[in-house]
Amino acid sequence: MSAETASKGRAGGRELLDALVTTLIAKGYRVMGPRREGAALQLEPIDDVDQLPWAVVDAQGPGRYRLEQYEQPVAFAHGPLAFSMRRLVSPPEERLVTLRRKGAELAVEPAAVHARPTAVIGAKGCDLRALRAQDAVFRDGAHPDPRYVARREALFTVAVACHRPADTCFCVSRGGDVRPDPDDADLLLTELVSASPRYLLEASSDRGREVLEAMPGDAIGEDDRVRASGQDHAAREAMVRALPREAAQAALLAAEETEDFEAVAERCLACQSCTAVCPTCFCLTVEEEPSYDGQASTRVRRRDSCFSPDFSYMHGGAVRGSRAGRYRHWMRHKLATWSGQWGLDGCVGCGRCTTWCPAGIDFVAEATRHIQRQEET
Amino acid sequence: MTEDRRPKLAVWKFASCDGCQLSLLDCEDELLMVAGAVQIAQFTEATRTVLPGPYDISLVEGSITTPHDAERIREIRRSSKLLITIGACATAGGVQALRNTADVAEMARAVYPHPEYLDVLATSTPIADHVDVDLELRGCPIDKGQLLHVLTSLLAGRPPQIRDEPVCVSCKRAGVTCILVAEGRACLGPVTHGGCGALCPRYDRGCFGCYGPAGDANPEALARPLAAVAQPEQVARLYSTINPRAEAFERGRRLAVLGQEET
Repeated sequence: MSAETASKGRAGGRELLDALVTTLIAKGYRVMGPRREGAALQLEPIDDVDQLPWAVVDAQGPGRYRLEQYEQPVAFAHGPLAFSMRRLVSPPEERLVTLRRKGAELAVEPAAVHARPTAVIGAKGCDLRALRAQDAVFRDGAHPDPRYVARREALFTVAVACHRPADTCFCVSRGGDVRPDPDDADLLLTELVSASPRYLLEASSDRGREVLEAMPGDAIGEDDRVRASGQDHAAREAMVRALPREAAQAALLAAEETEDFEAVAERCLACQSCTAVCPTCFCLTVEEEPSYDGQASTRVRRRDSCFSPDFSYMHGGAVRGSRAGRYRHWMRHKLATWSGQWGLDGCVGCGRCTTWCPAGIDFVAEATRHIQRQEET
Repeated sequence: MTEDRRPKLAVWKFASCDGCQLSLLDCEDELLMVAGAVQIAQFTEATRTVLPGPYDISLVEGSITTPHDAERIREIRRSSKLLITIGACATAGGVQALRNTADVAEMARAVYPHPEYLDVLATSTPIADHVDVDLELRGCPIDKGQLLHVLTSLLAGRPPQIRDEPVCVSCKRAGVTCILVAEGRACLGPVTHGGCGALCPRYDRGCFGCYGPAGDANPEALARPLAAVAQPEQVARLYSTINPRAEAFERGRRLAVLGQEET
């Protein structure tokens, strides 16, 4: 099939998804997609579209997540998955190197990088934008992290347009959209919702075009595009939550005092769940693990969090000793100071910090309090 | 015979079940390497050998419940360079600290035909209430990985890295879905010191706080979420299962009981 035909995309019923999974597997990818794992939808390996969460949706709210039955037999009606793609490119824990005593010498044994080609089906726009933030930290700076770069290059993404945002979603107000930016993905999938859903698949990278060319399917028609655009519009309208970027940044830049965060700190568990599920958080720590025979030491990189008292520990004590100080640091970094640091947004509006906060702290409501206070003064 | 220059390791037992000491024996393969690097000077569960002090590393299991033990721990402190408590009993008084708010004399009468033979304190208290402690290892029982990390770090001459972070961190690292948020089941993970690798949540069970409170525990913030998913008695029981007299857990238990009285 010619590249021109491929550039027009593919359309079809559920069999188009089948073909997508089959083609990706044939090209050597481990395919991952949303899948029901116990009480939540997680990003898991799949080899059959039956494993997708058909007619399953999530109800998300502050400190609350429940799976429910959905009236339409579709696979992508859910909101952000419990964990983002960050785990795939930046695992929570990894060995870096082992130093081993060999007589008078010290042998350096770098840990192998496991960068298995992985295709994610159903990547949300918010999570794809969050990868830009991870890229800025680990790939695009003066000192790229080869481990990250290898995994990032091995990651193939099939973005999906959201047609049913979760109640905790607010990506549109963060400069994102229910329709992912094609530049952030290899393929873009649209699920047209009905009793017999129709799928549209378009390529936005050379790798994506290669996959598309190997797939059967109809051409995308004008009526398909009209339906997709109507669905996008309805989804944008359905996203009632908002945390406007400029207003939030101005308000948080002004909220310099730790006292401004004491009220929220009283409700904060400092359990680090928000930073653990945030797709843009990237902080790591490096620890040494001496071997039992005392002849070697392994350097391990682990995820860290600014909510940990140890995080800002320097000679003599922690710089941010109070929960209020740590909350202040986190919220200001996400909403205000991140853009100066990386030229990007530290918050993509996925709402995970709110859903997975065991204390149910609503990030948007807390930030809005600062905006309102700023407007009053 | 040349002098043995390997560090002397002693394991001491106070009021406890021996489970934490057994964690050391449980290390099996790794234990042989550790045992080769130290002189075992005192470890009743493992050997009859008793070497005189001073000791480089003393691992202390159990809580102080008798006047005799209160004296003995001071002697151990005097003869130990590093004193490390292992487990919930040594670190927070253990489950036996439930007696701290009960009538011990009455309990003794109920249990023993001749309570006059007993010489016990009215309280079960952590080792740190009696002597300076250099490092505390939490858990009921302790995690053998943490114990080995401490021993191998000390043998390598570097400080152990025992992170004071709640169980939630381990759940998130392991990719475990939050039991409290997604299933509405009680879990003390957000206020409990990690180190277990989220053992219970990984097996679909809420944390019952066997490692005791995290340094930054905020049970006040967890009171409402727990009250939304569990009865006050259940929450109170969770907080008093293993570390009933750890200060933050006492606060959590009181809040649950107070919440009950309000309704």
